[in-house]
Amino acid sequence: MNIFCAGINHRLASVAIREQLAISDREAPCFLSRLLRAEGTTGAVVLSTCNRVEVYAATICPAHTSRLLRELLSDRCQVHYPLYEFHTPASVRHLYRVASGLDSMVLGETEILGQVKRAYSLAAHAGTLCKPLHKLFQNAFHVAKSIRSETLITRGPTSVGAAAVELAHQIFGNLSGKRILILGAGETAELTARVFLQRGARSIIVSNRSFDRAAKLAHEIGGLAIHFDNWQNVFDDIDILICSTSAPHVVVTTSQVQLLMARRPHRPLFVIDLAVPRDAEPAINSLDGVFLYDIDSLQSIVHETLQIRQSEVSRCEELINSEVRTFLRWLQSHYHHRIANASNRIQESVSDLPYRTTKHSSPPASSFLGPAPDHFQSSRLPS
Amino acid sequence: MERPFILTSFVLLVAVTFWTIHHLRKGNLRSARIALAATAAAFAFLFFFLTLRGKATQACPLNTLPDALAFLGWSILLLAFATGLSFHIHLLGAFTAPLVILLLLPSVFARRFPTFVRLNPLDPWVEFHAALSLVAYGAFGIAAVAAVLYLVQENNLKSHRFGKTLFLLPPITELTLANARMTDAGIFCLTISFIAGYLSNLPIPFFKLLTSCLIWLFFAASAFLRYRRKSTPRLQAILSIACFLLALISFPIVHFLSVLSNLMPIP
Repeated sequence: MNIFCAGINHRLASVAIREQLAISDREAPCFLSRLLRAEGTTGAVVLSTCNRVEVYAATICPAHTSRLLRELLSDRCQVHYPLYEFHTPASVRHLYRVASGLDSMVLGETEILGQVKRAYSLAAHAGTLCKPLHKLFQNAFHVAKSIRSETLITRGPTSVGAAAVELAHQIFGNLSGKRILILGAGETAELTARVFLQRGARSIIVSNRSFDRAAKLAHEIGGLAIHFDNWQNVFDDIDILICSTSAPHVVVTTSQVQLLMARRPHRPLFVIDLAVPRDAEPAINSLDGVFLYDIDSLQSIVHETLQIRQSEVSRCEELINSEVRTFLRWLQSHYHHRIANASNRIQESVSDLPYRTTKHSSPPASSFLGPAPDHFQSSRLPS
Repeated sequence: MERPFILTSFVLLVAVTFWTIHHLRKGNLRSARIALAATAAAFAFLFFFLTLRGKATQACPLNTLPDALAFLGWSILLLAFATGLSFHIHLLGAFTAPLVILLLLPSVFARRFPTFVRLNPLDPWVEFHAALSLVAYGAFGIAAVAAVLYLVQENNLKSHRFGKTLFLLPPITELTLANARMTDAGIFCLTISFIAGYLSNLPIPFFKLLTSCLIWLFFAASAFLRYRRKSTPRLQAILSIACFLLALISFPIVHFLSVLSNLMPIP
C-alpha cells in the first residue's frame, strides 16, 4: 500500500494557475469519487486552499492514480500543469509538514490545520476515506498540535497589525472594552484599527485635520469623529493611540503626554506611531505607563518572530520524522495483519473443502451429471 | 519523621525553578503545566511537614524561626495558586518557587526540629494572630512576586526587547491588578491579626509593636497612593517589593520577640 500525494502549491505555481485547479467543497465529493475509479485506489482526500491543491490517496497502483488525477485536473482547465508527486514515506512527511504550517507561505501559520481538517471531513462525508488515510490524517492533526505546543513555530505576530495587537495583549490582557483614538485617517491606521475592533476593542474615535475625512472613516468603521483640535479632550478615555497623520512635524509631544498622563497615572497608554515622518516624539516612551512603538519597532517584532520560527524548523522536522516512523510501523503492521488474515481465510476455506465433502458425504459429481456421452468419453480417453 | 517531607518539598521547588528557567529560555509554554503540577506536589509535602510539626508542638507550627518561615512559604504557595488561577497568571507559581526555596532553607538545614513547653496556656487569639500575620506576609510576598514580574515585562515592552519571554509573561495590567489585590488582602489580614493580637492578653514588646506598625503603615501608604491615583503601576511595583523586603528582614526579630514572651524550648 502506498500513500500517494500529488498537487501544486504557491511555490510551484502562481495564483492564476492555482485558481484554475482549485476544487470547491461542492465539487470535492464528485472529484473524489471519480478519482477512486483509478485501479488500486482505496481512498482519497483533496486539500484545496488558496495556496495549494493537493490530493492524498491510498493506492497499490500509484501510476494509475497519478494518471487519472492528471486527466481529471486537465479536464478542469484544459491544460497540463506540472504537479509534484510524493510516495510513502515522503507523502506522509509532506502532509505532516503541511498540517503543521511548515509548508505554508507564512511559516507556522495555523489556519492550514483547520483547512486540512475540513478536507478530511469532506472526504469522510463523501465516503472516500479508507483506514490508512483516516489514521494518516488523525496523526497529522496530532503532529500539528504537538508542534504547536512543543515548539515556537506558531509563536509571535507575522504582520505589523498582528504585532500591534499582540503587544496590546501584553499590555492590557483582554482587549474588550478598550478605546482607540486614531490621529490621521490613513489607510494603515484604518487597517490596524479594524484588527483591534475584530479583537474586541470597544470603540474608535477618529481625528483628522480634514473633519470630513475623519467623519467618513468613522462612519465606515462604526466610530466617532472629532475635530483635530479636540483630540486631547478625549485623552482620558482612551487606551490605544494610533498616529498616522501626514504632518511633517511632531504631533504628539512629550510635554503634552506628560500633562495628560498625570490625569490618568494608573492607566497605561499604548501609542502606535505608523506615520513617516513620525508623529510622536520618541521620548514619550520613557514616561511611566506609556509604551511607544513606531513602524520600525513593529516590523522588527515581525522580523524577530520569523527568525524565531525559522530557528524552530529543525526541531519540528525531528518531531515529524519520529511521527512518520511511527505511522510507517503502523502501516506495515496493519498490512501484515491484513495479509495474515487474508491468507488464514484462504487456508481455512481450502481446508474446509474436503471436510465438507466427507461430512455430508456428497455424491460424486458424476451422479449429478449422469454418465458422460460416448463421444465425450471417447474424446477424453487416450487413443 | 518530618525531614523527608520538607526535603521532598524543597527538591521539588528547586526542580521547578530550574525547569522554569530552562523552558523560559527555550520559550516553551508546556513548562507552566509541569511546573504547576510539581509546585502543587511541593505544597502538599509542605502541608504534611507543617501538620507533623503542629502535632509535635501541639499548636500552630510557628514556634521556631524555621517553622514560621516554612509556614510563610506554605501560605505564599497557597496564595500563588489562588492568585494565579483567578488572574490567569500561569507562571506565578513557578516564579514564587525561588522565594519559597529561600524561606525553606532554615528548615532544610535544621539539625533537629525542637519541641516546646508553653509558658502561658494556649490562647486561641494568639494562635489566630500569629497564623493570620503569616498569611498577610504571604499575600505581601505574592504581591512582590507579581511586582517583579511586572517590572520584567514592563522592561521588555519599554526597551522593545522581543525575546522569547515577552509573549510568555502575563500582561502588565493583570500583574498590576494582582499586585493591588494581594496588597489589599495582606493589609486586611494584618489588620485583623493586629486586632486578634490586641484581644489576647499577651505582653507586646515595644520593638515588635513599632516594627509591625511601621510595616502596616508602609503598605497602607502604598495602597492609599494607589486609591488616590497618585502613583503609577511602576511605582506601586517598586513600593511593593521594598515593603516586602522590609517585612522579610524584620521578620526574624519580630518572631524572636513574639516567641520569647510565650514559649521556651525543652532543654
